[in-house]
Amino acid sequence: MSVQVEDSEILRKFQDEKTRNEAFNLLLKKYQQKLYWHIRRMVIDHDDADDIVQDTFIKIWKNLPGFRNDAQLYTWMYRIATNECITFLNKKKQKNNIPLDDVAYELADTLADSSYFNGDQAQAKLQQAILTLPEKQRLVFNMKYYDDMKYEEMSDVLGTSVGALKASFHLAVKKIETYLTTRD
Amino acid sequence: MNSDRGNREWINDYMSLKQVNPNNPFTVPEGYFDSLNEIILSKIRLEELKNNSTGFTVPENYFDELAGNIQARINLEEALDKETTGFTVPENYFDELASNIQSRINLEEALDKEATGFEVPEGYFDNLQQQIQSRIFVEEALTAQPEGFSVPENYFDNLTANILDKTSLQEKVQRHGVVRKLFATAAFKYATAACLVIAVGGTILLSQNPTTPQEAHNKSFLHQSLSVIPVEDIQNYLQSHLDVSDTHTLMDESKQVDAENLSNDLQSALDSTSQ
Repeated sequence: MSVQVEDSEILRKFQDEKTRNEAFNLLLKKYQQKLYWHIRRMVIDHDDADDIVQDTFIKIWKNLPGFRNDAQLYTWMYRIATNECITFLNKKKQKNNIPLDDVAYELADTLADSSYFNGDQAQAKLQQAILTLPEKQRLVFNMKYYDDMKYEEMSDVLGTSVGALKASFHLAVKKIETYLTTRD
Repeated sequence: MNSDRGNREWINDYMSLKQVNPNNPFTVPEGYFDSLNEIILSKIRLEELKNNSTGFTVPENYFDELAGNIQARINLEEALDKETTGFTVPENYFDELASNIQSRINLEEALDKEATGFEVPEGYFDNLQQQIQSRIFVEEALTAQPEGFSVPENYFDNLTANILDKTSLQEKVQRHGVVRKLFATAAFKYATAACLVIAVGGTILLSQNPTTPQEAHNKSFLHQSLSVIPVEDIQNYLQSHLDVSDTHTLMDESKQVDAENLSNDLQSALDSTSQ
């Protein structure tokens, strides 16, 4: 098991022009899957997620020199990835000229047709339940349920207060529970 | 619900959700994450190449002023377009212009070829100006300067009078008025000549042609041949050789022949012709 380099070490190496590429490689190794899955759960389709994760890391590379350590590197990158997902979903809505709720239905269809989903029926039903949630609630639920993020970290990512996030998560879980118990 | 109670304790409050496998149900293509690093780094390099300077530079504040310059240029060209609307050209002018120019070129080339029928001596135009200039100088010299010979004053003015005084003509004929030529035009001369020819020719022609039968006979070959033969011989011949056909001929003629006085008539006819 490889020893994960601390974010501070990565940042220090990145500041030095000679070790910049090495630092970024370390950053990629440490966070590429986390960011990928965060994106994938939002956009469902692998190819879409692939595009977004690449764009995310390119933005990280461009903006990392200006990172001021006033927030954690991880949450900063998560924020970039989250914004890229929201931008993508908004574009999808504008492109197809459909409401955001209908975007969820489209994602559900993608999920059903996806060849990169090997969950069981219950997992599929859970995903369908998640897709019924508003966009922000989806984000909160996914970060809590799948990534075990603390509310403080989620607050840094989403720019929302901890209390609002807790309420949002409560509502999300209730909706999902209802969906799972009422739908066959 | 207290979702901060450990990481997953909150789920105990939701039995349906708890029964769902919490593992990630999504998958990725095989080896995806192995190549993802390289893909991202390549994209970053491309982005840097796109953003980095290619060595080309622009003047200071170029891009700041670019929008304004473009707008000014647009305004200028719009104004120019408006100005040119005062001038018009015939329909399809520019479409036919190229072919018209070519036709004109071909025509002038052909004319140049035709003009070579006229030739000038070699170097003619090269020397022409000089020759003209020289000629001018010569003529100016000729008119300006006398030949070196001089005459007395008013010599030419008195020359005519002197000559007349020295000749046999004592009287000076002074003509007054307008002197006009008798034969003013060439047409009048030709007409006069033609009349003379006609007159002379007609006289000659008329004099040669006999007007009366007698005159015509006198000029005939028969008369001229018989006039030298004695009358008695002609009478003897006629009496011996006169036949029926001759008699008929004589009878058919309008002139009655007096048989009794035939010899007398014949003698008188011969005598008249011999005169």
